[in-house]
Amino acid sequence: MTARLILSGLADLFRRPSMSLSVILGVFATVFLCGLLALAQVGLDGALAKGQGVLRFQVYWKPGVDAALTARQMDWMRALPGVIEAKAFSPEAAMAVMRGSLGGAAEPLLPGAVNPLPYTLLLGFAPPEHDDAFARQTLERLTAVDGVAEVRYNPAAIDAARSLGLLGSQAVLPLGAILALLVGLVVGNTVRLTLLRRREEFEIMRLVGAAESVIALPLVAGAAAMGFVGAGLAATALAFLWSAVAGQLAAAPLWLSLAAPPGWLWFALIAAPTAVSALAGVAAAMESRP
Amino acid sequence: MIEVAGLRHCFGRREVLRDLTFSLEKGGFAFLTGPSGAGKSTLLRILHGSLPLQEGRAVAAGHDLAALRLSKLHQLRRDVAMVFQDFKILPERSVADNVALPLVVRGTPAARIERRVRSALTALRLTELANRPCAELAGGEQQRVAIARAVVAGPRLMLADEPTGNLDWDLSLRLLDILRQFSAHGTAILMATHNQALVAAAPDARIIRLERAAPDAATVPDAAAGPEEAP
Ligand SMILES: Nc1ncnc2c1ncn2[C@@H]1O[C@H](COP(=O)(O)OP(=O)(O)OP(=O)(O)O)[C@@H](O)[C@H]1O
Ligand SMILES: [Mg+2]
Repeated sequence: MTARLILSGLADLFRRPSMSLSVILGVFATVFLCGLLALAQVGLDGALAKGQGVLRFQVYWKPGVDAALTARQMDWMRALPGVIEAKAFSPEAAMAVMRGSLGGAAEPLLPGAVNPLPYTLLLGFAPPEHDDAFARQTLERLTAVDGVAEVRYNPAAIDAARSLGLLGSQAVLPLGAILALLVGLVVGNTVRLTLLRRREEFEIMRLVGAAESVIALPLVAGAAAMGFVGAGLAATALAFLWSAVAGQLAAAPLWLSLAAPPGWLWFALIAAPTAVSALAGVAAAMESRP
Repeated sequence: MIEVAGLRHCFGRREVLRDLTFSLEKGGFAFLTGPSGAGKSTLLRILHGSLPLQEGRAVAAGHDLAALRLSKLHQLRRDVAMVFQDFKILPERSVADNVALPLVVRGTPAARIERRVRSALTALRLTELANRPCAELAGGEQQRVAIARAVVAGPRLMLADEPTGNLDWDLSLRLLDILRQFSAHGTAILMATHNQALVAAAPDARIIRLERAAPDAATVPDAAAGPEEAP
């Protein structure tokens, strides 16, 4: 009986496809927005956690420098006091990554020509003491190396990112609550509309002996399904977006590797709107009781 | 099957039913008569749980209406079927779908629904119309759909509000015959009707007669009660 009622609720969604679709779209947009914020938060948190207490310098060599000399200079830099991580990219390696991320587009520009990309080395220092002097001295030493074109060091950007992250973490909860409310309103009002449109039918069903659950269950199942599909689509879109962005960030010139968002986040992104939709359906059905 | 004692019902200050007492046994058949506005539909709606019991005692198919909770209303309506004066059928659905509705909402298996719907349609001579949308039917045909729907689930008590209101004399007689057959099979039937000729056509049936109450409750004499008293 229960399975039959649930199935009939799902079948009802196809009877009014435009209405179901618009609800799914509403849920999609809401969940996508909320998920985007949560993912940004997770990505930022990951990046900041990795960068906590670490000073980072990105060293760029001039194009066309001698490979052997550069390799020796890199070895010297890796041996500097306080270095805890180092990631080097040769022009060839950088080109390979670029090809990967740009596809064939990069190819015809560069055949046989001198590779215009520079050698680059990302250095992470654990400073002995958290003082500006160390950062400044390291910056000067790196810049002074022969053949080095530029050294980037920006703790200011990290501070900005950190405060942005703080702002984000404070905004996530209230925003999540508002968006949950939105999902509930969209789905709940649709169920209410259905109840109103089919009022006569439901009244007749009651008159011939239908329990309230027989009327409510298909509606709740339909509501939950719309929430589930909308949220599922949003999560899928977010997963694609994430992999695209992560791919971009992992390439030149950022070389940032983002940790994958935790499984519970995906679960929450789908389960919460489904639950909110089902609850909105229950609430609407309860209201309609005589 | 029905026990009513000291029943009184008012709409606002207007008293429609007053000190009504009667009973109907299992498989019994009774006409509910009285002029328009006497409260026939009101009584049937109270017994069907559609109007609250205000005063007195009423038991329908073992369900005490004074103790009836909203969450248990559907149980009453599975035992007590009603043929409504205005049919209350779903116009855009087919005859068979309408007749099947009481079984569908009970979760009856599909094969059993089909069997019972078929026999109800046969009894009411609706087989030919089974797949037609009810909106296309004549008033008398719709009325028969409403009756088929009331009998399809084998209720213990059937309340019929003017079930012959849209039928010609021959059909009315045949319907009366069908209803009496159902009551012979154990379904108690209380049938509200204006049609004195029909009442006369079943001389052995019980008659519960309601009188029209005076417009002002305060001036109502002791006339509103039915003459039939509980044994
Ligand atoms: N919901 C209501 N609110 C107020 N008054 C009502 C309501 N329903 C019925 N009445 C009044 O109660 C009285 C009895 O109505 P009821 O429908 O029970 O009569 P009836 O005997 O079925 O009449 P008929 O033979 O015309 O169907 C009527 O005067 C009617 O106007
Ligand atoms: Mg009436």
